[in-house]
Amino acid sequence: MTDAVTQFKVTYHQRSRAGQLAVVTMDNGAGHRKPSVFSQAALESLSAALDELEAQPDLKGVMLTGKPFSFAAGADLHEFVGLDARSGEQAARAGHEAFARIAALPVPTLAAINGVAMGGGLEIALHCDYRTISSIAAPVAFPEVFLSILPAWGGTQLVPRLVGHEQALAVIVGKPLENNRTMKAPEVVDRGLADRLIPAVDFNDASIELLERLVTGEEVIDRPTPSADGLDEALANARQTADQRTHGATPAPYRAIDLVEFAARGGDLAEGREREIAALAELVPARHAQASVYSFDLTQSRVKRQPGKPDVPARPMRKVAVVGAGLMGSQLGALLLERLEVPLVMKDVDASVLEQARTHIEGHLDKRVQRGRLPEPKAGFLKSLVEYTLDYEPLGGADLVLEAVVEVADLKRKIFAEVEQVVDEGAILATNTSSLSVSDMAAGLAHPERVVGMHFFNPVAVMPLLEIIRAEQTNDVTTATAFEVGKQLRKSAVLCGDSTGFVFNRILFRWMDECGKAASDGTPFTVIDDAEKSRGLPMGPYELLGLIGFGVAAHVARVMADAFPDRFAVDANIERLAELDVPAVYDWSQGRVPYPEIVEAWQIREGAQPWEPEEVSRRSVEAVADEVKRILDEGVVADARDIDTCMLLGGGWPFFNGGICMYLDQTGVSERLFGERLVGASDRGLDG
Amino acid sequence: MQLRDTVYVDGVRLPIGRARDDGYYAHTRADDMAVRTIRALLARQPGLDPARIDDNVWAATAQVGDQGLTMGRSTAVLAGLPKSVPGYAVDRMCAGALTSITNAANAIRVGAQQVVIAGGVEHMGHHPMGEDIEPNPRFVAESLVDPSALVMGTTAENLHDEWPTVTRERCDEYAVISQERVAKAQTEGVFEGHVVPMTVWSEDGWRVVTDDEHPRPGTTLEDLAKLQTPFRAGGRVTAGNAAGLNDGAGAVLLADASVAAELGLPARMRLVDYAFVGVEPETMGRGPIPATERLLDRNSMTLDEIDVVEMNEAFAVQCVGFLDHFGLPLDTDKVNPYGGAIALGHPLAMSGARLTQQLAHALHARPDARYGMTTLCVGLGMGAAVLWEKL
Repeated sequence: MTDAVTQFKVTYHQRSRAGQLAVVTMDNGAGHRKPSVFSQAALESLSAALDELEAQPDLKGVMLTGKPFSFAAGADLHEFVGLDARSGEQAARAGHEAFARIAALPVPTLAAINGVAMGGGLEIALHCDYRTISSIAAPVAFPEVFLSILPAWGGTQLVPRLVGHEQALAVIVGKPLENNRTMKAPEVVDRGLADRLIPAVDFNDASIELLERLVTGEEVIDRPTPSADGLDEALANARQTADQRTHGATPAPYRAIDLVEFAARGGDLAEGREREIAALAELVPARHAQASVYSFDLTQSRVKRQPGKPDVPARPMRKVAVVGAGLMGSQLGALLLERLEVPLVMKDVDASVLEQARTHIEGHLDKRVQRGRLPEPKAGFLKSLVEYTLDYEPLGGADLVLEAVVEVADLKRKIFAEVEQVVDEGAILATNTSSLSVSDMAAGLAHPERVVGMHFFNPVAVMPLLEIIRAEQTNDVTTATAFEVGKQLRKSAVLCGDSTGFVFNRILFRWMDECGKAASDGTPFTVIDDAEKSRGLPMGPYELLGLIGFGVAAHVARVMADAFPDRFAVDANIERLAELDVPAVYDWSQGRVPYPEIVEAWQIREGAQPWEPEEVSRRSVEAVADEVKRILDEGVVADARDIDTCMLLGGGWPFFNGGICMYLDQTGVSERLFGERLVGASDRGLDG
Repeated sequence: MQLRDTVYVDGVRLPIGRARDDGYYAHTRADDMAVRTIRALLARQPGLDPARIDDNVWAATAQVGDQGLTMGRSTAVLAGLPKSVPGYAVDRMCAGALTSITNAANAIRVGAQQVVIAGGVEHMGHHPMGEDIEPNPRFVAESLVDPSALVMGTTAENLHDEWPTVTRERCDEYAVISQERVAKAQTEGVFEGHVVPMTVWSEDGWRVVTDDEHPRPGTTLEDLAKLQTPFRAGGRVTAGNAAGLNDGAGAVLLADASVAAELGLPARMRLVDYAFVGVEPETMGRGPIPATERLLDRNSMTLDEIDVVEMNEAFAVQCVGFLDHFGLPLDTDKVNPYGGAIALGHPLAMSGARLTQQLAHALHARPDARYGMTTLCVGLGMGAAVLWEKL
């Protein structure tokens, strides 16, 4: 995993008016898919380059840029793993010292941001006097807070000084917490972080020409002095945003806000740098940062390698079909059409449902046209590829038939049997069931080996997770095809065994089940939700229930209880709620207040006592831990990291907890309950 | 039909590099080099709306790899010209850019187009001469050409055979003059008017190349006398009295005279006429003589009336023979006042652009000059000459 060391390479040239100019290139010598990062060795190279520049008597200006297509991606994340406070401090200090020398060069310096600039990459640019950015440079961001650390090579101190507290809080805290949103070049200029936006085709030449004019004084770059107005309000808003996004479960955003505040209130730069270093030394070794690096690797790297995908060629997709054109089916149809661009058959038993599916699919394409993502004539062609039908015959020739009918096992079996009559022998039959047994569904078919589960999450266009369920008889080509289609649909696929609820729903419902016990004992919904969110979960169980819907929740709970009666129970309260005509637990128009109908229908167990928040939290964690351990022991997944991938991508469980297994390990729960760690503790036979 | 006037508005080229692994452009694509000149040309004419450009004509001898894909069109797209701007590729070997210019000029002269970019590029480091060429066996089997005709250095030795008074010593003397003139022009800033720097990738990261890489200032006759004659044992042609193997790109902006006036584009020269001729392939260096004569004849002029000649220096023998033919001394001010390809280098299809740019400079540097000519010899036996009038 070690990247090639980034070298700071220096060349010189002479201009008749400006005199001697230097170009410093950050280059790790790897292809452009591997941006340069700043390891300790890279900082040493920077230091050597600075020794050289400082010794040039006739030097008149310096341009700093990256290798082709990328600027620099910041600190080497791999060096963070297992770093202690002292090493963290050293890493922060080394960067500060080297970067400060760039700022201290006696000649004009210009950072030419030619591509990706993340974290430390952006910070090194901020130490130059001027910045140009290529029109194609992206992403540009301070992702540190998203990873439960903070920009600690001057970012929190320099950004407020350059562009003011509002922009600083937005880019250092707001965007990372908003699902780690990054910037493209125009936004970087709009926010004042770069002085000039230059078309990519001219970028290097125009940047060096600008430096030349800055050296000769032909051009001057003036920046407005940032306003200190509204600081208190901006800080309060930022802290509130941090509360909403993390519920106080990770310290990083708050420390970053404090540092921006220090700079914005006119704090001394040298002291600000010391405070940054101290903050990083504290945050890097903490579990939040360590788990974040782990989560980042799982979701950005490991899952993309598709661990578990059989090494056989997938069946090519030339025609696909969806049976059941309702809510899920029409979304799946739209996704298949958009990504695969092959003929699509939408089959249903109800003509009005088909009409709604057509409206959805065509509306989806129209929206893409409106957003400029799809040329209108192409949208017309894609629309013409779809056949909406009440019959099975048009499914003939389909390479993949994905069923998305209601969750009734007999119905799904019957459909697959019908489908088998019309499709080729090698066609793949996939079910989008969220909890039913895929093996049962395949039983009795002529070719059960071609049945596989492909569990997408609602809303299909947004949710990145795809659980691929390998049933008892599923063969390799079928599994490989499910993975390949998943990749083409740009979903992150995790291979699961055919166990009721698979991974995500099994854990989610065990958690909700346990929380339900607290509610049935009279613990207020808000107390439960708050207790759960204090671990950083995006939503508490009763907030989530409103999204899932009572009917669906009751149905899945029943399926789970049938499969695992020893520990899942049908919550009578939820079943009662399913009878009510209420959209959610909370009436948000009133704040977070449950609907009176809900309060009235909710029955509290006789003689029960409400739980304290700590008890809610402890018991829910232990219940989830128990379910996680069972999933691992049953071999539903090959690796604890698969579970964490599911929870990160399927439920938005926070990066700073590392999903769930990493959290259980880091907080000592798995040691206490099972006497072992879950992540990487034992070889469970497979490795991604 | 009355022809319209084509005027030369502006021209730029890159510093010429050596076609070597450590040369300026070893890690730079030829099409990116062409694009750099197009962008620089547009940047120098901010009053010109790129949508007014009617064509983008580019020459390259090796039209493969980074010089393939119909360079005129591909570089128009890469340079960010409006998609409405078409382009095409041209090949007449060493006279590539010159042919881009005459083609573009003709489209303007007949009124079909009004503003055209014409250029030439050759990355001889990426495309050594003769790359991927399969000469038809009939050339030799049917004695259509002498086998030596396909090796340019050998054609220069053939010329020496025909012109015994053009000795190696005189050629070396000519080469020294070329080096001296380039060095002087460099000092005087002659090239700054049309050479634009380029930021190029190298083993040392990005570097900015600003000046031509090929010249060897201070070259003496003694230095040259020591060189080998690689094309023939006991021959006369050396690396010192011939052009090098080089990488370069150059482009010019041509316009209809009245449109230039309307758009506020400077008109610096008017294209008067041109001539291309064929000669024996095995002595292709003779080409400029009959091309010049035909051009002068068509216009009822003599060389005396031409104030400046910018002649490509493929080989000194070709230049010295030309000067002898027209009765000019080796150090005449009329021909190549700023030196030539022996010092600067000759990236085949690019050179016509350089000659035209230097001619524009020379005509304007001499208050009394009126007519100027660019001329080249061309592989497989051709000569090219273009006549311009200062405006």
